[in-house]
Amino acid sequence: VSPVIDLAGSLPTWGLLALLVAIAMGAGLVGSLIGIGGGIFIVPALVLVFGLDIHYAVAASLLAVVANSCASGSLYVEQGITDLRVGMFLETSTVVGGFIGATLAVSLLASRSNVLNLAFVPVVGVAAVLMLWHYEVPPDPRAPPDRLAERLRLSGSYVEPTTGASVPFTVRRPLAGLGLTGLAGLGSGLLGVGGGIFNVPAMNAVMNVPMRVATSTSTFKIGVTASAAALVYLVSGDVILFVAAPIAIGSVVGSLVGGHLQARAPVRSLTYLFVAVLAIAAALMAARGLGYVG
Amino acid sequence: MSAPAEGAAPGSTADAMPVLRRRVVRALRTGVSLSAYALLVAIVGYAIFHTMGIDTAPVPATGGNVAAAFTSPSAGGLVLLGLLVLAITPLTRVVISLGYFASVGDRAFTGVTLFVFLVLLLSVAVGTLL
Repeated sequence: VSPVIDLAGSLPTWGLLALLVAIAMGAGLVGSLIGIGGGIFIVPALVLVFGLDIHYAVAASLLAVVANSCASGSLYVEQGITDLRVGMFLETSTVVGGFIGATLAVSLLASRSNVLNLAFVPVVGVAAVLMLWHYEVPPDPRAPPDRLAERLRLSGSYVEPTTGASVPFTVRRPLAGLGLTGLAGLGSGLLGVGGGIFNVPAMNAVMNVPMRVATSTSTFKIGVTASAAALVYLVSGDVILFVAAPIAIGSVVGSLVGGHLQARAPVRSLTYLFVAVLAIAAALMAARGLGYVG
Repeated sequence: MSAPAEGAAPGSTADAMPVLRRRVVRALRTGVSLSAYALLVAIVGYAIFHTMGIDTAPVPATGGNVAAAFTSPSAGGLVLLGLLVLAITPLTRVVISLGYFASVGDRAFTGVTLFVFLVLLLSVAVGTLL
């Protein structure tokens, strides 16, 4: 099966650029609405709609993740919801994961796009389960302090915007959180997904970080993870400039719009719809990885 | 371990490190704005002067290509610069944090941010070799 849309010449330049911006806007909007980031939609869209090799799709997606993290993350940092210390502590493992994932993708897996196409499937599966699972563990105020967390002064408090109250929290199991978010970083570098869908439950359910702080801290820190991976792709020459640029711009616009709409949108219903869309995308990626489609 | 920065409560997410928060916000917004302007100008210019399709040849961010973006301005060169600025914006934020933690004598977080900074530099080095 030939690519649906040939980037090299099937449409006028302005039409292709507008289409790429529109796809990234849609992915950014949906990703922001249901809280998983747009990368998980951008990669299959570029592979399946334009027939791009997954390496180029991952590179474009990672640059979009960096753009989103910088734009949305700065807002959360300004509002004081992001925990800078927790974020920077967890970056030590996610940045290593992102670097290793990207290095593997452009070296050992450089000519094995089918492996990456197939690897996308379980990631989408786990993401779908996490989206459908109504996880939100309220922080335990009587949690015993962890020695490492105390030494690094990771525990703190944040101002809940809806009530204006200061909510204290005690960080637990920092090493477990470090390990889990490191795996999320590896997935990010390999497959171009931001990793927020995995980082947030790791911080919330494992480390006892309140959901709001976990979400904003994840948004803040995935920029560094994606940057480590994006730099590998960018310097090694795996970036198609006029694909990555409209994807980055569209994704930022979409995620900012999604952030504003989140309070009013029927998020639960949309989640079911987009899990179905992801399941179809994953099946098509698997078919591509197994050689059933070109 | 240093005293809490600028009189803030120890570890308070909302109140601690206001100077670092301001610097981080400024760095992230400056980086993403510069990058967005460069990318927008480049793709609008490319759409005006290019008629069919887009150039799908991947371009590595080598020293030569970055230098050429300055000496022979083009839409592609401007996109390369915009994407490079975008990719190094989080690195800039890490450098700012490193300087901050070193200046307040927070040795643990100076080490944490130094480690992240070194991995980011390693990414550039390894990308050049691959």
